[in-house]
Amino acid sequence: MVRLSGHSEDDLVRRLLAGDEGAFVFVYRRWQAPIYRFALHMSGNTSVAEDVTQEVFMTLIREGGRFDPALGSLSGYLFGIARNHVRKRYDRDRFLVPFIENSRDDGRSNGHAGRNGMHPSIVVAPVDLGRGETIAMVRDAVLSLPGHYREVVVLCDLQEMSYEEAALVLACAVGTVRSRLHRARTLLTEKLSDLQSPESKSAAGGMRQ
Amino acid sequence: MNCVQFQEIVHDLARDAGLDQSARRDALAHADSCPRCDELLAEAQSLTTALRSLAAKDGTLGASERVEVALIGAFRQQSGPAVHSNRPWQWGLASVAGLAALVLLSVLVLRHPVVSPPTPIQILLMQTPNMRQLL
Repeated sequence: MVRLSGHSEDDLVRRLLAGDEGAFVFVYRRWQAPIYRFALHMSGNTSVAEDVTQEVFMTLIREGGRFDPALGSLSGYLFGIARNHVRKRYDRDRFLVPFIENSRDDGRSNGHAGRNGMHPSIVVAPVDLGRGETIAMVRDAVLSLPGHYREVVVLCDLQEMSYEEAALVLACAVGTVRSRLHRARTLLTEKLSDLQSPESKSAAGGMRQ
Repeated sequence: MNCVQFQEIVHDLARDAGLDQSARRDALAHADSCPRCDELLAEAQSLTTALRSLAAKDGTLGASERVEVALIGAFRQQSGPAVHSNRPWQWGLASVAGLAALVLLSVLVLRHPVVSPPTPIQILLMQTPNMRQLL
């Protein structure tokens, strides 16, 4: 296993396709967890995350010859497969969080349809951090985003990919990733503000006055 | 930098990504002079912290052992005889060899036609040339 750590991704895939089990196990153990977490944060479902992880590496076994290192990294290739499988799962299953592509729906609740984080007259209260429930709130807020916003948050903020890496996974322009992330984060700030307890909201409002 | 320009880059600033030093310095200077933008920056930074907390909390999650076992099984199956039989050059080689064997066999048959042994009637006719006249 250790001896494989110095090999290029292209070489690893070649070995894997030639039947080198060590190369396959190395690749799997290197990337299974990020792929699993991507699928989990996109679907909100551990069973789906496991299925997607398995399908991603089955695709690598069967069609790994399609990986072209000139087009991007192996992780980008695997995340791209994972993204496609998550979308397929949503098309097939009803229990996943909706994946809305190119939708005008920005995920706002009706009660706040007119609120825009960029509007100068409204300033939302800062998200109250440091409590255990905050993480659960953030997870729910991410899952409530429309799919094309959710995936940029998951890739850029939770997987810590650069805009360029995320653009390769999503097969779109870097500017698209940046603008979607900006919008997604504005929505998240609004959602988290909405989820805050009335006490903390009034306290924050009192502080602003 | 004005408020609109600041709002366009506030999340890049909070994520510390996608901004060069000059733009970052200008944005921070604007936030220092504008309470509203300063508050927007605080929100964006809080969100960054919250998302990093979620990423850190889930950072140890991964697929179960069952998935690895299933995949290694599938890999072994795929790498076995089925994989080798799927190699196109091997199929091509086998086809050419079969065709060559067929051609060779045809040539041999044409050069040395198979002669079936004579029947008893034919033997009798050969031994007694006048038999035909008798018949």
